[in-house]
Amino acid sequence: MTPVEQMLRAAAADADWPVTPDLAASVMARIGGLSPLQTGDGGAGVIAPGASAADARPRFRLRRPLAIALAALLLLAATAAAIPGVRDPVLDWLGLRSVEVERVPHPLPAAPGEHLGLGKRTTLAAARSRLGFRPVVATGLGQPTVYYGGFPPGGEIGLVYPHGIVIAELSGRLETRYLMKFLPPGTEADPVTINGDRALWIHGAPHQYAYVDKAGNIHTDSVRTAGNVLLWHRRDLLIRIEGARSKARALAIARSAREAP
Amino acid sequence: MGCRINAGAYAELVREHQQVAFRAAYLVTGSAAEAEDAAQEGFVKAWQALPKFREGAPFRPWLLAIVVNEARNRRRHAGRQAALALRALDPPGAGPEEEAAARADHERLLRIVGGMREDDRLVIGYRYFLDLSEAETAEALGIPRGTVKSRLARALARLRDQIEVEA
Repeated sequence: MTPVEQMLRAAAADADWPVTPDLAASVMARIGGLSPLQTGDGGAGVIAPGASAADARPRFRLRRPLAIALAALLLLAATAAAIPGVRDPVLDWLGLRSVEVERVPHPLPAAPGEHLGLGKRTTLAAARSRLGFRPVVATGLGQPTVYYGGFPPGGEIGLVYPHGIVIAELSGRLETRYLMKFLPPGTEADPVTINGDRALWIHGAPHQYAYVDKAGNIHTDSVRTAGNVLLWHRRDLLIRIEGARSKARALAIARSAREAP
Repeated sequence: MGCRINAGAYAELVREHQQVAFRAAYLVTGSAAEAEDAAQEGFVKAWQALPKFREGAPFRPWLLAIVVNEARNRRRHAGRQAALALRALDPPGAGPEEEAAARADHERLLRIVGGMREDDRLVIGYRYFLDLSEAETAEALGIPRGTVKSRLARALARLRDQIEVEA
């Protein structure tokens, strides 16, 4: 690598990019209102980079606030109509062969937390088999609905408990100097400890936070519920607890957590 | 009833790739708002175009090609040149002099790259800022791998020249 290339790599690590917006809600709202993906229409051609087959299709655009407001409803509707095929080349291509395929003559009831974008709904055992770490679960809150996401490296697990408590865990660590850049005015971060581990109780209006994954890459993620959040660095895990009505409650939940069996 | 990909799975895909898509668009537009619109539009068009996509091809460069195309269109319609304004992060505190000097160098380098023409900015941005492989860069730019090599070499040469001019 030449000196200029080395400088570019180093400068890239220090680049202060604008905060990446959470696009999932607005995108899902729009594709719910447009043409859903269909296979079996004979399409097997290669799309030239830079071109889009969608160009010739009818378009409309929702205003962003409306799009976001409709996102949860459309997600549920689209998910309920999901995947009646047996083997779908598009699913294979996306690496989603494990996605459950079933016939759903009637809409399925919404699962708790389904609209939060925490990944695919699964079981704790299935999530554990795919995660690069051993997750922790809260005790005394009931059985969580479990979600798994393949990003960042090592994966992410989301646990949605009754009464709105959400726990998300990934392999990573807090980096305070990055984290603070994402806190809006009026939001405060109180350092706390949980069984000797470092944690931050962030109260006010946090929307995003930054973390460093196990490969050293910096990412941002969204706080999924409106409210305060406890960010807890437990060994190699970064654990996010949302939905607790008070700091004391969040700390009690964290202190109740045990490694998943 | 046709076959459909689970919307939740596509939402996961969006979340996984939204950062690289947004940043690629930002390399072109130099505007966070326009980059957000371009990335959103790109994800929508990618969804619609999925049935015609070649099975087994990598998703990321294909998505980036669509997103960057959107970003270019928006910039053209706006009738202006992009003014990429990437800055180096502030030092975390009163660090040693070497660290401050390195930050200043990074700041200068980012400014020079931000002022380069779009082709140079994209090929450098893909390879060094977004960490795309040579093959992914070729796919995203719609050019052969050999052209990526030569285009990158020319862009780096121009970058070196500009660094020397400003030294």
